[in-house]
Amino acid sequence: MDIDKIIEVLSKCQTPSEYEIKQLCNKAIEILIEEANVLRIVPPVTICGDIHGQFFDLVELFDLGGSPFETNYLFMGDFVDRGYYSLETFLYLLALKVKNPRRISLLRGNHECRQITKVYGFYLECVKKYGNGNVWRYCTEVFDHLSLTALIGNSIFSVHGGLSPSIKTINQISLINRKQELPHEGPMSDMLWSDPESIQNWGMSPRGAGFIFGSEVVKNFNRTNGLSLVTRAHQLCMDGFQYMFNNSLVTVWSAPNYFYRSGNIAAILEIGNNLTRQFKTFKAAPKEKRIVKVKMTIPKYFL
Amino acid sequence: MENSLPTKKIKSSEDLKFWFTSDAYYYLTQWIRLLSLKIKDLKNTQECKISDTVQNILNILDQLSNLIDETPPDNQPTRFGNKAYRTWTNKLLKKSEQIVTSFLPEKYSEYNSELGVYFLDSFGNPRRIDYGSGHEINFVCFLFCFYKLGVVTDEDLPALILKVFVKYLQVARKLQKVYNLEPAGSHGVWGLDDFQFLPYYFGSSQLIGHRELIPSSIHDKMLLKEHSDEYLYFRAIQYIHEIKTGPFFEHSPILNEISNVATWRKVNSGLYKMYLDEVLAKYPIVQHCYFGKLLPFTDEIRQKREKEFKESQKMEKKTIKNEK
Repeated sequence: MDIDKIIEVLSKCQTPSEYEIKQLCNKAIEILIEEANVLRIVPPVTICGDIHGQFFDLVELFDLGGSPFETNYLFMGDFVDRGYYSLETFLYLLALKVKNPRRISLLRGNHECRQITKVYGFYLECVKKYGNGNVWRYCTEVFDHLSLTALIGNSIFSVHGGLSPSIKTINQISLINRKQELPHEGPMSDMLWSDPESIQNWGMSPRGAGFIFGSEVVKNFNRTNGLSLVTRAHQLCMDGFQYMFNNSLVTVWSAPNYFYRSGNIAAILEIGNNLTRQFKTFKAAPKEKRIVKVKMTIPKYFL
Repeated sequence: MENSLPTKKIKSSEDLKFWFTSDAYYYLTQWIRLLSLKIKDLKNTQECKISDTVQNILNILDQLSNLIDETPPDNQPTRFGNKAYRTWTNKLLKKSEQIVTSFLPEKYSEYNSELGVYFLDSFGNPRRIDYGSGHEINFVCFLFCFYKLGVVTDEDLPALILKVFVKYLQVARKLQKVYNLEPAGSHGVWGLDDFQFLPYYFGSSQLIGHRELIPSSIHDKMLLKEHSDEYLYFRAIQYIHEIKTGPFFEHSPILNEISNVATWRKVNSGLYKMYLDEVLAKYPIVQHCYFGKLLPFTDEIRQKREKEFKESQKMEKKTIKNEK
């Protein structure tokens, strides 16, 4: 497998052959399978939120945050669904990971699973681009191996969704068997589906999966685990990021102008050597940079 | 059991096969087909019989719209949606008893609270400050309840869409705009529309026999302006232009492709199939559906179907064994 050639192709938002994708995914699994449920990351690192197939906005992100060959990145999941380029986006990040496993860290989001991608666009995109579901299958196998959380410099905890009532200490996360399709309930599901809310403790989530959790929960979790900050994604933010609970938790969102209507800006969080925090924000890629090559066809229902 | 309100019954994607064979599924799918049929070739401005029951729903929707005017967006810091939406919802809940008890004539008043569950969940989710096709389903279920009870008859059906559903959409869109509601569970470029589905389905029926307007007419901004008051489909497209940025083919590719379909009749029948596949067959949406006395998906039915399913699996295994 020529990883440099694959990266070159993907960097232009083009797709490699089905065979190359299979090779890439197999290689990625070899790397991911060795990674723990809690990735240990030494700063500096730039933390990013949801991308949802917005490839050209990912390019803007790299323009702002620095080349992925020279800058350490942590992506908190939700690479796929809703946008045009879920495949190119995910495979590009995966190829960068394979090229430099220590530099690029990828976490699983709630969209990185079979059930959700069959509803929200990734499956359709794969079939449209390759005529069959093979590429989707290869990718969902990779999803099963993605790590769940990260610990940066021992005091910043990162996860896609949020906390779980079943997880009081970070050590407990290591006991989870993550190499499976995302379950409907349990700690693994909770961490990828939960949301912070302006309450004190736990509540039912209106999403139908995970929970909502409040200030006391975060306070206790941070104290028990010696954390200064929980970073998460999963929810759209008008300003790209939003602090809650006295700056002990922050949502980072990296898909600008979501749905072409939200008018939101996107953000990345740069963690420096001494765990300093700096947010940088960016807008959607301008028209000239967005090439829509996906040729949609009349859906089967109308034929 | 007698006094219980509608509840959610679809707990996992394994339940979907029972949902498809339930009474509720049958009623709902036939209901939307019937409504589509009843407004074929009719404009929104068509004169309709408006019964007292229907007029009452219209009045309530007007009240809800006024409530938005009385509850302007606030300046509180927010993640995305405006928190004044929660204030609006609380005001609605305060009025809910008065509203809900007015729905039905005296002899059916025991069903008011059942209708109330559907109605009150038709306008978005106050916790998440979002709105999606699940809320639209709730409103359609709400309307179905009147028909099931016989309080509304075939004669009233045109008014239910051309007047009531149109006004419901006005309220929903006003909420979406004023409070910046997030699209709940949108499929992005892979879906029809961020917020609604049925205006396109019902709207295409209105246009089936139209002499001049064809599916590709939606690209003509003048025609959109001219006809958005008369036709649900055109208003829906116009609304997208009001809230989205960039070229239409980029942000709404599915609607763009549908504009290449030759006839409205084909659009209408295609949208029906698409609705069944993309909305009613998707667990993330239907997990939020409510089932009660009027739209039943009782545990009895579910247990019966589960038993039938297991029996059929056993029979299949036996047959295969015998064949070997």
